[in-house]
Parts: sequence; C-alpha cells; structure tokens
Amino acid sequence: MTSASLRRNPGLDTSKTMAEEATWYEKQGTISKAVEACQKGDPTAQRCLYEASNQNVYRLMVRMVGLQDAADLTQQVFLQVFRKIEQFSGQAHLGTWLYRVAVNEALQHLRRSKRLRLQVLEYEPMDDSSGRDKQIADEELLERALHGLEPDLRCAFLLREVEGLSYRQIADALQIPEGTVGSRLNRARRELKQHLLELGWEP
Amino acid sequence: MKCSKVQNRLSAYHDGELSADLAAEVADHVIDCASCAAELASFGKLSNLSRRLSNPPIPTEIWDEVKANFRGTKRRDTIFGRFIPKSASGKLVAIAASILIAAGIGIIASQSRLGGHDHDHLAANFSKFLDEFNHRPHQAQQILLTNFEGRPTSMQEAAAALGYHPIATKRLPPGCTFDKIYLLKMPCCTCAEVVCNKEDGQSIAIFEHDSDQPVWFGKRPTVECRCHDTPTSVVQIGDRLAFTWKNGQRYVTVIGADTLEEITDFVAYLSTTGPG
Ligand SMILES: [Zn+2]
Repeated sequence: MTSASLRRNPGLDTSKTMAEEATWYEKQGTISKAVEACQKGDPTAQRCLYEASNQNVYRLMVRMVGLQDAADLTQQVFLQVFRKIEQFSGQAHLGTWLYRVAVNEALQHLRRSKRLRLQVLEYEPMDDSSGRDKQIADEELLERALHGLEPDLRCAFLLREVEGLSYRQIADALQIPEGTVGSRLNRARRELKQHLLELGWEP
Repeated sequence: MKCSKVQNRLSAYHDGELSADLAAEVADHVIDCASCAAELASFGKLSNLSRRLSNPPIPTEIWDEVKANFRGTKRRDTIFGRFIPKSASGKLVAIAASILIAAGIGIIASQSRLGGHDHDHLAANFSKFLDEFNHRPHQAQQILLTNFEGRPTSMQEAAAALGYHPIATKRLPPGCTFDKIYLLKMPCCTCAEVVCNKEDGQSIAIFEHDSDQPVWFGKRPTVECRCHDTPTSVVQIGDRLAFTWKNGQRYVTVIGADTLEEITDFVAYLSTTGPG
C-alpha cells in the first residue's frame, strides 16, 4: 500500500504518517541547535524550535486531551518552554524536556477538567468523509481505543509508539523510574488490545 | 524462563530494551510457548497500526498566539472564541481569554439558572439596576431601594439583622474605600449591599446573601472560570464587569469591576480563605 492511500483525508496534504516523518531522535540535532539559539536570544530561534517540534507536541495533545483543547494547551507548552528556556541546561534531557512540559500540561488539564466535570475526553473524529478502506477504519479504531486508556498509560504508549522515544527518554518525560516503563507499556498494550477487540478490531 | 517472567518483559523485548542475555531467553521461550508468542505478535500488530496514524493538521493560530502572548500583547479572541457564548462580546471575551491564558483555567460558557415568579421579578428589577449602574449609579441604587424595601443602615445594624458580618465590612482590596451599606429584602433572603469607591472615583457594589441561589444576572452571557481555584461567574454589564462566587456558606456578588486583575483581587481578599 502506498503512503498516499493511508491518509484519512486527501485534503490533508501536509499530514504525514509516522513512517514518513523524521523521528524525534533524528530531530534532536535541529532541536538542540534551536534551544541554544533561543538561549542566546536569537529572534528567529523560537520559530525554529516551534517548527521542529510543534507537530510532536500538538499530536500528543490531540490524543491526550481531545481536539478542542489541544491548540490552547500546545500554546501553553510553548509559552512555558520559551519562558523557562534560560533555566534549561543539560543536553542529556533536551529531547525529553519538551515532552515533559507537554505531558505535565496535559495531565494537569485532565485533572482540572475532571474537577470541573467537563467531558473533554469524548472522542472527536477528525474527519468523517466517506471512502474509508479497512486500514483507515483500523486507525480510527485505534484513536477510539486510545481514548479509553487511563491518561498515564495513554501517554506512555504514545511516547513509545507515536513519538518513538526510548525507555530512558519516556522515564524522563513521565518522571518515573526507567524500570517501570516496560510494565506500564505492558499494561497499556494489553488494555489497548482489549479495547480494540471490543470495538471490532480484527488483528 | 517462565511465562510470568516473559510476560513481564514482553514490552521491553518487543521494544529492543532488554539486555542481549535476557532477550535471548525470551526469544527461546516464545519459540515453544504459543500464548507468549501470540501476545508478542499482538504487540507487533499494535506497533504497525500506530505507525499508520496520521498527524492532525496544526492550527496556524497556535504560533500567532504564542508569539502575541510571549510578548505580552494578548490577542484574545481567535482560537478561544468557541468558549464564549455567541452573544458575548468585548470585555467578556477578553476576560475569558485572558483568564485562560493567565492560569490555564478551564472555562465553560453557561447562563444563570433562574426560574419561578419571584426570581423573574427579581431578575427584571436587578437587570434594570445593572443597566443603570454603569452610568447612573445613584439612580440604579434607587431602583433597588424601591423594589426591595431597601434602606441605608450601619455596619452594626446590618450584622444584627443578618446574623453575620458581611465580608465587605471586614476587609476590602487595597484602593477600595467603604462608602455606604444598605439592607435589601430580596425574595430569597435579606441581603447586605456594601457600596465602596475606587481610587478613580468609580463605585463598586458588593452583595452578600445566604440563600442557595446563584445570582441575578438573568440571561446575560456568563463566563464560568476559576479565580484562585474558586469557581467564579463573570458577566459583562455595559463596559464594566460583574462577578459572583460562593464564599463559604454565602454568595458574594460584586458589580463594577474593570479588569480581570480586579476580579481576582476581590475574590482573593473577600474569600473566607483569603488574606486578613
Ligand atoms: Zn509463555
């Protein structure tokens, strides 16, 4: 199957599947240069950092908090990052720092929403146009099944499977011991598979 | 290696995060164990499926908002518009958006819940008061006094009549000075109204009542927000703002704020948990 036929909507020409895109690991050089330039006060550096990482932050937000609030929270993440960038040092955590800010923002938002009893977690289909083939339907099922996962498990799964982070990086982003990443992913995958089967997935 | 141990390490094996020794043990096990092999295969299918997820298109407003807010010049009504009732405009939209920006607070648009004959009457008269308050505060006050058997009183008399000291007689935010106090017979209960003056000469009216009725903003568009974690409803009255929140056992309603900073100051100073 060609990559073009995997797209859910032919109108989304800029949208790429994960397989087509530079991984987070491959982006590290660009991002670390942009962070350094931001710290030196280069006026275009913020834009570079944003361009290099907005897709990663935004798609994580969409799947963590839903389409409606994802833009606002993504904006919050970058504001925080730009405000705190002076304090940031240490190349080792560079790649996961953005994710850590994003994950914290998403989890805080979910806790707040729970308190306010807002139903932000209702599944919001990105596109309802016709002409789905079986594979597109499976992707939709996965989006739905993801929303059924606990936020802790969901972000572990997304950081691994969508963002391609290592266990060390996931541990940094989630601020948990590296040894617990594997068991969290075990649970996430087992529950996700269960949800998918309930939704009619035929593996 | 036993099934349970393999199961515990299955994700790490699948993700290539096991040491070579452990990975070899897991690999040996799954050759002979159908159930562990099936589980591992399902992990693989989930990974394949995940790689086919598409990226949602990024709204271009995000960067504009980041840029505007980072410089401190808030452009407030673009991507936040959907939170606000369609009939809301101007200051209320700005407040809603700036609250969101300032503290990342969840905002839900709603309208106050009024029903019953007394409340309709109350809403109608209170609505007249609100309309007048903006430009003719003295006439506005007369509407309340006429309709709700209102009378000027003293702090001591008010405390005796109400059975409590209205919070605005105990403390006010800096820059506000106490002016007058009235007692009003609202349909719900007897209510205190404290009028105070700001440094710029504008008046602010502070109502406090102890019945479990939210407030009298009628059908005006309301923004529900949290100030210092206190749920607070904000409405626009002309070019000024009114807001209400539940303060311990009672409701406090303030008419005549101009900015979000004022609202948060009031909630902080007048809350039962506030300073002083
Ligand atoms: Zn086994």
